[in-house]
Amino acid sequence: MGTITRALDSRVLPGVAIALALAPGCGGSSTPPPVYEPANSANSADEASGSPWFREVHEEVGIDFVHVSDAGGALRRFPEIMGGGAALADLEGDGDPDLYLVQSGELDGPAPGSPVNRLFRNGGAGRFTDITEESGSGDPGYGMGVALGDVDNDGALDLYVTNVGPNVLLLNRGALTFEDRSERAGVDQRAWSTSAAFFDLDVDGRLDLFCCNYVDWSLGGELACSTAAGRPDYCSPNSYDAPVADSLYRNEGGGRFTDVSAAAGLFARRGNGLGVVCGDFDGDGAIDIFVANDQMENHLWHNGGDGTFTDIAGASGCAVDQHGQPKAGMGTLAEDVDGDDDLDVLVVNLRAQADSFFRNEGAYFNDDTAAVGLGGASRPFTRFGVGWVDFNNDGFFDLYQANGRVAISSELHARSDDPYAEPNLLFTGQSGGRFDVSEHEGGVPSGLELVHTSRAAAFGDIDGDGGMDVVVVNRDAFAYVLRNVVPDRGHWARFRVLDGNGRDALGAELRIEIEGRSLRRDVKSAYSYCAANDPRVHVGLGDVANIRRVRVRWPGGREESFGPFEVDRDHILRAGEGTER
Amino acid sequence: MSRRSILVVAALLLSAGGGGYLAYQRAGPMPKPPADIETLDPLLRRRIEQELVRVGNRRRSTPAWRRLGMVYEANALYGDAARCYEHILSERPNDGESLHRLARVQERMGDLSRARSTMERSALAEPGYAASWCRLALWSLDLGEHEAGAAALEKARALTPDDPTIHFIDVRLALARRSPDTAISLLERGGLLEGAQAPYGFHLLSNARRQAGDIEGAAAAHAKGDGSRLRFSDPWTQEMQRWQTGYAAMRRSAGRHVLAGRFAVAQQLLEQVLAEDPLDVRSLNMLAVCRIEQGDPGAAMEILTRLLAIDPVHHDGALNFVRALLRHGSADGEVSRAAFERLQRALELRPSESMGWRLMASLEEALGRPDESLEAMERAMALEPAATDIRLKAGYTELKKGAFDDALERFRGLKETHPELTEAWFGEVATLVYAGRASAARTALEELSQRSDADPERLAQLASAVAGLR
Repeated sequence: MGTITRALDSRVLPGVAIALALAPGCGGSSTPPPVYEPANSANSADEASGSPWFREVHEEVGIDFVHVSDAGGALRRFPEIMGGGAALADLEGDGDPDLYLVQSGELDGPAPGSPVNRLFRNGGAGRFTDITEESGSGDPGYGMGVALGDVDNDGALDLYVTNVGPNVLLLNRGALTFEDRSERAGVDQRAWSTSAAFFDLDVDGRLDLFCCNYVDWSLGGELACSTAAGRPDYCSPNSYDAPVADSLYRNEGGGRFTDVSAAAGLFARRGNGLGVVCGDFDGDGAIDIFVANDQMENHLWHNGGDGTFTDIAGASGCAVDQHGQPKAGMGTLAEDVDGDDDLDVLVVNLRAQADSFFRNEGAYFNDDTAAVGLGGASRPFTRFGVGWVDFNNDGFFDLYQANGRVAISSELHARSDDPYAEPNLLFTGQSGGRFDVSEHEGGVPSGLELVHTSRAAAFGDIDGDGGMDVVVVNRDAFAYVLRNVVPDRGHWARFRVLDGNGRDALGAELRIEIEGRSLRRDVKSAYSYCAANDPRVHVGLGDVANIRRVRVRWPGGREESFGPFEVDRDHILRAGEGTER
Repeated sequence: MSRRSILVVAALLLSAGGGGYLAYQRAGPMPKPPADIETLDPLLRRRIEQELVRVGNRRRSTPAWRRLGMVYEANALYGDAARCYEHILSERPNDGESLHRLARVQERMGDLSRARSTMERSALAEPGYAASWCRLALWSLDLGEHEAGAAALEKARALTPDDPTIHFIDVRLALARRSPDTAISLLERGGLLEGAQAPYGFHLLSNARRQAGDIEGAAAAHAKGDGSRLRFSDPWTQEMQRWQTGYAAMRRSAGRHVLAGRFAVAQQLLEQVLAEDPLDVRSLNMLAVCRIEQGDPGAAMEILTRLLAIDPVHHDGALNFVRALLRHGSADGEVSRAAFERLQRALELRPSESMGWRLMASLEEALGRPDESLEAMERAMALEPAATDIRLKAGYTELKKGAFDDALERFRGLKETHPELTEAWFGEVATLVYAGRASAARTALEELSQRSDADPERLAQLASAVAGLR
């Protein structure tokens, strides 16, 4: 109806009587070359399709989390189809990633015994123990997602949990204990938030916070929606016509944040924000923010360097697809996929819509989805969690997509007990920046055991074997822990990148020099959908057996060089300990 | 054999033949209804049941199966539609129309690769149907197959060389090949930036300028695109769309009628929808719009009162109530106060919607509060800096409250920024008349008289008023 009202806008003013007698009724570029092509890397489609790349091990490693959406009432309530988040990172400081899983729970408000978010400590080699209760991290809010960052510069990663309702900042007090400081910090906003990201917007050494907000929704105002054929179903964000502005908080130090959304210019645009990824997209030294919006234009908030942001998505070519259509953006990513030293963007979308691969051409983005092989294979699915990760360590990003419908369709359902369930997808990265879909859907053996309504996907190496693993949260089902079992993986290296305060230097850019080539990898945790990922930089190296040098461009622009480094092991890069350039 | 006997034998033969034909028609597979047909819209359910009976009686009838498929397809039951078309194709593998319809369904289910391959079969089976070649070209480009796209485009061009669709696909091909200059030239010289499809043209222009490195030009073109899709003649699809059935379809159809200004037709449809579901707030809101536009704001207010009882924070409902109230022109204090409060609440929730501020300005003015009205206008102007109508209205509001200098400032400001806006010149003269500034009014009137688009009748009125000034 908003459209209809707007269509009638122009008729309003003439209808207002004005009492005065005298007044009227008033190119040319080609696909960039591959980064490098290792002689014996496992990157060919034949090899890729040889055997499944993942083995699901949640029981074996001690993860017994089951997501609860609270669905099943007479009225379908919109958040029930959207939630389930995950963080995979070293919260303890012992070198292996722990797992925090965001529960949805009870929409009417938690009651004693309601399900809560859960924290699992990684005891080494990927075996987990539930320490929710003793850690104080079991938030009972109706959860959506989580962001990670060391907001108080004490060297330990803190958690920011997004909810349908007040968000929660859990400060890491060490030894895997957390303290809820949301209210005092001033970040306990009550909007329906989804993905969030920490980054240093003003290079003052303190992590600021960006939070996507989805829809101006309330339990009391829920609508009864149906499919075109009249079947009762979940509403889409367009049913409410209630997009909202996202939120930006500046870290003032001392555990306090200031809401600077209005002053920064974020109120200029509203959207249905679901995914966020930060990075310096234009190479000007300031970190920008890309937001994937559901059924609305995406936003690219360009950081003016003075505390203000301007949405340049429309001008720069990443707001809509090549047909001019805004899509249903869910999860999003930013990496230098084509090896030309700038950040390309991927947004995954609703069923029948292609992914959107926005190639960064320096001054603008070009929708090159078809050119990289993503024009077709994922269209039958609704994609949420997503990661560009080099699973086989061949030096090319592979692509994982966690899928699950938001609306019932008339095709045969994958599972009779879940009409929204869909298989996940794995694409193997090829030379020339292309992706081929793996015949093993989601990189796992075929069968219904691993077909659910997937939401967040988080990425990290849970068992420290140099192969990147995946954790997927599934609506009303167990979470997958997908152990990387790619045979004959290539060499690898992993870098923990710490700034002068000893915290993960989110936003730092690494140029990893090998055999006369340079691979760009950024330090980041926030990408995918409602997920926080291991901020350590993992790089696959194929047959390359040593790293000549790593150049780090710290947020703010200072550069240092480190190295050489041995492969197949972890390294720490500390600001000030390299060679200044 | 007597003539009577011959007739009897002929009748028996016909009867046997007819019976055989009927038996033949009733043999073969029977379509299954959707598993959860009970959950579907009742009108659609009835339609599906009718079509199932029809197919049951004529199981070998391609038109019957196709119609059932179209009913499913038009109502987004794509899996069921696909099964109908696949059944036809199992007996007539080269039925171009069924292949085309199956391809569309496969596309909507997301399987573009299979859809393209099916559409290719359709185009080869029915090579004279241009829409198949157009879709094949577009889908090939979407899948990165530029040469296949170009080949399909040539087939379409041979059939309908003057169809603008062909030129739009040409532009798409040029962009896929990274030839922005060619794309820009095709858009500008081909007249693709004018007419109903201009917004789509501007989107493509935005892409082309960006590829050419003109980022500012791209931004300007992007602003003129509106997210509309490329539309082209496809009679088979149009035929399918006629089968949209059910209350949701009626509501969509009513929406289209409202946008086209056919309020009486829309009202009829909406009343049917509301008879089935009296709590459907979207239909109530649309019905109220229809009543306002048909000159019955009182009825609209009644409908909106029902709506706002169901959903007290319904944004459009709150705005439309104010519109109805303003059209109605009179209401008791309680109604006005309630309307004002609802509008206030709507603006608290969505402060960046200028329509709300425009209505607030009008409501404040109607309530005799010009200062508050101007304040609301300022908010609307901040959101719509290019809108001249609000600025004019603000000028007249200043004039009405006797703030002549402020009125003059507004009208003269408009004259400067929009010299083509004759109304601003009228406003200036009127203000000078009311302010009793005879000399300035004469000069301004003289300037206004030079304008060819000035309404002579109003000019004469003003001239008379100026002459009366001392």
